Amino acid sequence: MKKNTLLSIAIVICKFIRVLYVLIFLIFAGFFVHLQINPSYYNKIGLSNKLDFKNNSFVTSYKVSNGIHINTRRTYKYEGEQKDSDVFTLDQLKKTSLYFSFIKYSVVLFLGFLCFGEFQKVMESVKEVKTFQENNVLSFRRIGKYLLIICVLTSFYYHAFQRGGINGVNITPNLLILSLLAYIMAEVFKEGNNLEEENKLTV
Amino acid sequence: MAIIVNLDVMMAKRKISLSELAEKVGITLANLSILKTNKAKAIRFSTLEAICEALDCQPADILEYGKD
Repeated sequence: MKKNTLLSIAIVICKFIRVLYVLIFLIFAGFFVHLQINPSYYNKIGLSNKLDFKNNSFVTSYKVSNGIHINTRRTYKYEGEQKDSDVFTLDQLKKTSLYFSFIKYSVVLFLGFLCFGEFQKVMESVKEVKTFQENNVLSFRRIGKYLLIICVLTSFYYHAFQRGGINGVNITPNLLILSLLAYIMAEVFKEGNNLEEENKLTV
Repeated sequence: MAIIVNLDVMMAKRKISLSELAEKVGITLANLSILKTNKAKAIRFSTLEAICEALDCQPADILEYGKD
């Protein structure tokens, strides 16, 4: 009974997170549309306010709490002293960059949504005591694949503004580890499936 | 499959049906069917013993080794 309660909670959490993903996407899409309709509304919101610098172009290296070292490059299009807060505001984001970012993060959200969906399926099958079946192996493989794609998609960023740009690489090892774990779980479930089949065919 | 189950041959010799044998041996019809159709991956000694007793035969009468 305890096992079932735990699984039921896990399933509810999965469902909640999936709903949350949909809400985040809707908010994100609303923001995307509003930014195009009324860009001046975002002229005070900057993408870069962590570092202040005066060079026209330079490379800096800094550490992010959950990622590997990043090389972030910022470029200005013309000479002269400029502030980050003037160049990298959301209203000056180029259309191509905006669309690219929207598609990229939409795909990330969609894949995250699918990941939790697959995990929910596994939890439901375990609850029904149909743990070791081929579908679960496929689900874990899918989760591994989705996480790998998310890791690749989030590993780089490129924001082109009217007067400059920010680009860099941000590799998140957590996602890679999770992806690897999902693939390992797929192998474990595959082995379990084989054993169960063998057990079934033992007369 | 290297091990061939000749259960159907012995059943025909003893003129016994599958359901009858299943009842005598004490296993399900589905499991006996798996054994008869050579789909089984393993057989327990207890099952083999019960089949031999029910059919009045030796294990070699039921199981045979054949090269692929």
